[in-house]
Amino acid sequence: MKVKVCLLVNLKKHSPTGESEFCLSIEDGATVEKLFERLDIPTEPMNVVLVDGRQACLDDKLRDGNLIAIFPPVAGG
Amino acid sequence: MHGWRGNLLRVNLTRGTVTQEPLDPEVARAYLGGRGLGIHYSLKEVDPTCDPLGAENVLIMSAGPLTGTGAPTGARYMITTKAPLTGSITCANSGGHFPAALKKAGYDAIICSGRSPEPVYLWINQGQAELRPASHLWGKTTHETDEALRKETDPGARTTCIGPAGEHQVLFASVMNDRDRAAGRGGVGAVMGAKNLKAVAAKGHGKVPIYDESAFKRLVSGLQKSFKETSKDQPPPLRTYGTAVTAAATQNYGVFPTRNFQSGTFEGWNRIDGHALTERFLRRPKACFSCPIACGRDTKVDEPGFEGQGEGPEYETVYAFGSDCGVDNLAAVAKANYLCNELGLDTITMGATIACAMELAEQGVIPVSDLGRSLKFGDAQAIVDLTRLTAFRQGFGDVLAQGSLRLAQRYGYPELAMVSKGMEFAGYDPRGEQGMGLAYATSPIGASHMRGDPAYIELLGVPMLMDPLSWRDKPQLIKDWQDTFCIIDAAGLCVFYSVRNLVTPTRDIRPQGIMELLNAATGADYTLDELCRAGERIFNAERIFLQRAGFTRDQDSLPPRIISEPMPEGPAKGMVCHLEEMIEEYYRVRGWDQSGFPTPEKLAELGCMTFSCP
Repeated sequence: MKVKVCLLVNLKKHSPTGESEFCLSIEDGATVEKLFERLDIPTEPMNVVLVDGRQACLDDKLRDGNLIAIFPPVAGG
Repeated sequence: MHGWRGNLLRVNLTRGTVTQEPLDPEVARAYLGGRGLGIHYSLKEVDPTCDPLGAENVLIMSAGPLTGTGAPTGARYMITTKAPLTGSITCANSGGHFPAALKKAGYDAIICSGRSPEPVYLWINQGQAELRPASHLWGKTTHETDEALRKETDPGARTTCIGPAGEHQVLFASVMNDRDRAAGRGGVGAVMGAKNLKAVAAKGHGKVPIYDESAFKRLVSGLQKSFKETSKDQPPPLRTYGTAVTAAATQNYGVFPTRNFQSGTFEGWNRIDGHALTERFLRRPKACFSCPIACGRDTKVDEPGFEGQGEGPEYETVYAFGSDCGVDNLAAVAKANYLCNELGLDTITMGATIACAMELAEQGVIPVSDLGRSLKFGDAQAIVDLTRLTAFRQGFGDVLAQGSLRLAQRYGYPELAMVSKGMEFAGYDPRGEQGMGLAYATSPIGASHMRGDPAYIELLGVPMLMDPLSWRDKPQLIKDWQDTFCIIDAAGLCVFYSVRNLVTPTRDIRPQGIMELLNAATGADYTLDELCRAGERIFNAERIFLQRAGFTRDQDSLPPRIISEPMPEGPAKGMVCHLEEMIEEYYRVRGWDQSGFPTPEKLAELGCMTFSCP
């Protein structure tokens, strides 16, 4: 399946294309955690993950066409 | 007194006298400082029904016990007064270096009453204070005033002042310290202007006495070490990108207010966010006194028509002049910000009022003869031109100078003013962030995000994450968070640092780190319960001021757009803010009655019975 990923704030460095927004092919039923592994994004500290604008957990399953936005907790460094 | 200099300055502007009095240790203990001192003296000395721009209003500048001590972000002060924009209390907070300079000069707070017959400024020099003529400063911008004051007092003096907007009593004029730091909301600058008080300059080298020096040093160095550790791989995002980085979050949650809150997503968001600002205009990050973060933006714009330099824009300014006005031209947003800094205007209310005017103009209800120009969303030049006109109350700027509620009322559409208690919303649409709706509606100063900002928890995961679309779990959260912000604001700390480093990341937020710093600095030996009660005391005291000023629970409200027009698009599509479902439970957890005010039992529990007998 294909998903769209948006890596925000200081996470753009994990983008395979160098752009903060990109499309990615990933196996059917992959979880958010799988996506993190694929992009080499550490699960600590806890980043905020939005799937189609709704908060998601690491074990939530992704679906074809999802937009996944990921950003670190921003406040006071 | 430890943590304090132990002195207040009383400035009677009518008589032209300046006197000193000791800070009452019991008051300092019960109200913590800063915001707490502000509401304590306001309740005691201001008639809540007075004309905010009359001589009878009182303006209080108060630092906290941690201000100027070297505690991380212990840089802040509060300006408290009856607000001309709302008729409510306002407390406007700022950092920079002036607040620490005030403490070093020997004073914890300044209480200004009356009205001077001629413009004056207050010069505080190492334990001595005097009023001086300021007619030669009247009409000067905040930058010009800062330069002139340092030339005629001391090059090392730190200043806080009003610009032309305050002199013209624009209802949302700010007070600017250290040139570009703003105590912005509610019209504190208009009150200074009405009092003919142009500025305060302070210089001193006194040290704030610390109760337990070694414990305090140990705490501060532990916090510094921990901060360095968390930012060892890369600098904090707020230092790299500034607060405008928040647009990435609000856009993706669908709560980035767009075109006067007609939408929660803005197609041009990444042309005005923190990345764009860093790439295009940032010269260097800028820090307040004793701050490890440095979220301030020293920027410069060279684009023709928008040239300028100064500080900003911050996230709220990017929302107000940017997405809310449908403007994706970051140079224009920065220029409007520079003008607000130099002329002394609150960027949030200025931008949001222009956004309201844009919607009214697009609906054809403001005659072009009133506007003196065409006006529609996306007009980058308009945000700059109208800001300048507003500061001097010229042309249509005289109408804008009243804020968006009076503007919308004037043209028969009060529901198009995105306000609570007459104060313009911050950059979060409550339809996609339910707790923020409750926070706007119950903030004592009107729709401020900084009187218990749930965006940290609902959007950003600091100190923990909650679903922004849920509302049943929000009343207790908002109550706890509002009380915690009272403690942060009273201590003299910055919210940005405190919410991440000085409170527990638990459902019942506890200000453990603040308590440790306060106890080491002041020797007050607060328990956590006592400290939380002090935060609650401050919030309730502000509520009592509202009650006495004639506010009712009907004004704990949000505009119809927010509570009955579903969000038309984006991640929060279909949502409205469930304020009605939250407010009763909120009153219950607050210990307030059906009319929305503290019960006698609650006041007794908080040790503030005196509030009930004005």
